[in-house]
Amino acid sequence: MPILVGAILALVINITAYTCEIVRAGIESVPRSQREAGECLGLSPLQVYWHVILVPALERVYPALTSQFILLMLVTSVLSAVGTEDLFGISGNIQALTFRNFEVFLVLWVVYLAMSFLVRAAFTLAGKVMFVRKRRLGTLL
Amino acid sequence: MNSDQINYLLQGAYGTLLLSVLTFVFASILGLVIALMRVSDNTLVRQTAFGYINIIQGTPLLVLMGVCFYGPSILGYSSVPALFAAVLALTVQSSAFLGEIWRGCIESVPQSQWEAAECLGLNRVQRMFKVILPQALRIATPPTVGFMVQIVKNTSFASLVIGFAELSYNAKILNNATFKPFLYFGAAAVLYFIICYPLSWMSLRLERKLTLARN
Repeated sequence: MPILVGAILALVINITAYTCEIVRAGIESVPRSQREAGECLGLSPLQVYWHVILVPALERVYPALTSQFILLMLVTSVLSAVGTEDLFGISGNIQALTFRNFEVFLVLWVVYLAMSFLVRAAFTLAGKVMFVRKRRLGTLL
Repeated sequence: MNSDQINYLLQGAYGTLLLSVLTFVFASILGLVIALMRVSDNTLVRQTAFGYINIIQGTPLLVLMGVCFYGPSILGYSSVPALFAAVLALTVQSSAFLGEIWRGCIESVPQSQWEAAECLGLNRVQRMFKVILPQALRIATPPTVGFMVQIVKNTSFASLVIGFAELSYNAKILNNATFKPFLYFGAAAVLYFIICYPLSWMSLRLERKLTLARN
């Protein structure tokens, strides 16, 4: 098995366990009356599930999901333990060549910080595009 | 697996436990300071804590480990002990997370309690330590115990940069010598589970108890 496949598989297994708990909490936070109101309005079960339950639930837990994905991005540094050529893995080669461990780690620190801010900004932007209701009304659910 | 190898794994488990306990003790102290700074009335203090949390939460633990391990030698302290560097990095990271968890707990104490404490003529320190924190402690116990599991799992990072001999490191050494990865990593996984499961179980139970008490 190629290293990348194994690494991605491990991350997917790990992150799934966390995100599914987050999304579950979101779905459970939708009051039963909302579901019933949706049914009363004559929406089909599929429409109720999508428009009344799933999308509002995702909107509620979106900040938590964002944090989880940033943590995922940071945790990719661990994959260098199995030999992936990510930022952290490559930096190991540079350290071995130059013996300037501390300087390399400082640069890594700045790069990872910048990446985490960029990912957060990207997710915030994506959230604005995805959640139409919030964009139009600007209120919390 | 002979008794020497089992012994070696148990030594690793001891290292993991030692690291976890030390980290939890120091991270609680620092985390409490951060949490109190986050709810301070002074904007500068609040912003400082906010910046600290943002920077630490945006940094991978491995990079923190590297900075804590190689940093002191730039300042003139050559070769810091591995345990010291590992505890320092884990403390810095855990304190940011614990500070944020505890800030939420402090803020979830009802506003009326803060006002009532003020009406009774308590000063700010008395209000915080005699009224708010005892109540926040009850709310904070389940997530804190849950985070202790996270600390235990994070200790496995200590061997990657620093080379501190904890459970996953010893399992790797045994695997390198015997080429039986499933046996030794499996045994390490079981040991981690034995350490972590009681904690998660306790966290879940405390959470249920708290929800019952609230309803």
